[in-house]
Amino acid sequence: MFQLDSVTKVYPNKVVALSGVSLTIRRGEFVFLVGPSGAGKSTLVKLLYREELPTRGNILFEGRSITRLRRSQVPYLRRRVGVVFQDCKLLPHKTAEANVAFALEVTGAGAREIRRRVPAVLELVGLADKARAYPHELSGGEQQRVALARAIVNNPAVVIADEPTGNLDPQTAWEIVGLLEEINRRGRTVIMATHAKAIVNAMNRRVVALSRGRIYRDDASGVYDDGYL
Amino acid sequence: MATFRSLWRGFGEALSGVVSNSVMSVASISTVALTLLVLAGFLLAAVNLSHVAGVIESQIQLRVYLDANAAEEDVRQLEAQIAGQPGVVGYRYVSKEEALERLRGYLGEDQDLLEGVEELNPLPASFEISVLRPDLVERVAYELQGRPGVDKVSYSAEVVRRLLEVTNVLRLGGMTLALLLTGVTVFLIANTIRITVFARREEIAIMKLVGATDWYIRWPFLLEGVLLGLAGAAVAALAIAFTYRWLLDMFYDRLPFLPLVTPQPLLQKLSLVLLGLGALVGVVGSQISVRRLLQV
Ligand SMILES: Nc1ncnc2c1ncn2[C@@H]1O[C@H](COP(=O)(O)OP(=O)(O)OP(=O)(O)O)[C@@H](O)[C@H]1O
Ligand SMILES: [Mg+2]
Repeated sequence: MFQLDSVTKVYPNKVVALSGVSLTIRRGEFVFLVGPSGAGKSTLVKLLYREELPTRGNILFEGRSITRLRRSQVPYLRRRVGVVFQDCKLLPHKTAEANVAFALEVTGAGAREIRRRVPAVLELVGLADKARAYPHELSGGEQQRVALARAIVNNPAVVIADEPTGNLDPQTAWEIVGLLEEINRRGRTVIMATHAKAIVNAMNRRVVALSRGRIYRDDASGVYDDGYL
Repeated sequence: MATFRSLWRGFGEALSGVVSNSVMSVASISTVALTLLVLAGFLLAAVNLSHVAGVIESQIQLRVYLDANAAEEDVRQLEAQIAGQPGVVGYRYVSKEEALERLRGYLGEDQDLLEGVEELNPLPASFEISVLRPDLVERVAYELQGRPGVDKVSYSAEVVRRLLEVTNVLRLGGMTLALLLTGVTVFLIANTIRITVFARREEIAIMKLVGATDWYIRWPFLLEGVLLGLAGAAVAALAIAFTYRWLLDMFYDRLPFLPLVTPQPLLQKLSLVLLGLGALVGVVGSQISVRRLLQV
């Protein structure tokens, strides 16, 4: 699904966020991306939906180069890749429902399809009763659920979540991870960047550990270990 | 994918963009209107001048004024010479009395201007000569110049040339001024829309991240620009239509013989041109303001 070939990312301020990262993520996998703050997790994630371009190296998505994608093709990549952003990125003046519908509208979906799919995904993330609420009327966990609903409403091939449990209590965090697991069970690839040690350890899934912009460990069924700190 | 739904979405957002920064919108609409008014004013003046020139050219091409003391014999000889000139297709003798009669006709209600002049009648008699082609006028004029009994030969080609010169100057001046004003207009529209863009930058960034195409994002701003441009053009078209009719009425009263261009279909065509230009200015302005935004 994703193939990274010696990818290096240097930001304009000369910070080397990733250096020589090679990584393959297969269809249907559930991958944790772990590592201390500043390790480059968000940077790696941003490269996958082309918010950022790598400085060196190449990235393939479904066999095609993201790096060499024409500008006009970028929207179509982003519709195949559902993203839950570290800061949610919900629109404050739109209801939960409208925030989700928005992602469908931009793809040119019809009114009927929007009326059918939006309630369905809100139901899936357990927010059917809060459809009309505005983001500021929702708890952090509920906002993450809206963001998750928006990420999957386009039926993407892969869902990428950047610290979706960042500020949540363990109970709520588990609920979000449970949803991601459900999404993964339905056949979608899931990539989740996280600091939540307990969750990583309990899930027993593939763990890619980053440290100072390099892959430090890549275990098929790994645990969160602090050895690299 | 531009579905009907997303086209429709554009209209709502464009309208709310115009309404929510109303001060800038009014400023843009006014400058569009002003620019197009200037352009239209110059165009109408130029169109009328070249029309007048054309009418003069087709009406009479040459006039030979007779010396006040010309002998009858001279006049008869002159007439024969005129008739014998190659290229002359027709001529007519206009007596002093007829010239006065004509002037009276032109003046209409302002007959009092002629008081006291009538008995003297300073108007000279003349021959009106039509020539086959305008380019022959000068040669015929040269032939008749200085013959006995001839006071002066005037030919419309010269008047026409002058009029056309003035027309060209008007066209050039109008275009230059309109071009400058167009720059200002585009700048103002771009800034008006930039305000909307700025107010919605967060939403736009998110739109892009969830897979909106450039066109999907651009469309409402494009419409906003076109709306501003069209509104300004409509104001200009209405204003120019009223002004032109008013001016025509005024000229018909004062100078009824002046062959001005009738309002229809001239104004109709002009309005279409103005609306087209307004829309174009709106498109250019809006695209300038969103171009930067989309470079991510
Ligand atoms: N837009 C940017 N411009 C410049 N430097 C950046 C930018 N984004 C990130 N960085 C730098 O790149 C490095 C990696 O940042 P990144 O956000 O990928 O880390 P992270 O692993 O996601 O951290 P966290 O766990 O705190 O979210 C950091 O040193 C950061 O300061
Ligand atoms: Mg991060």
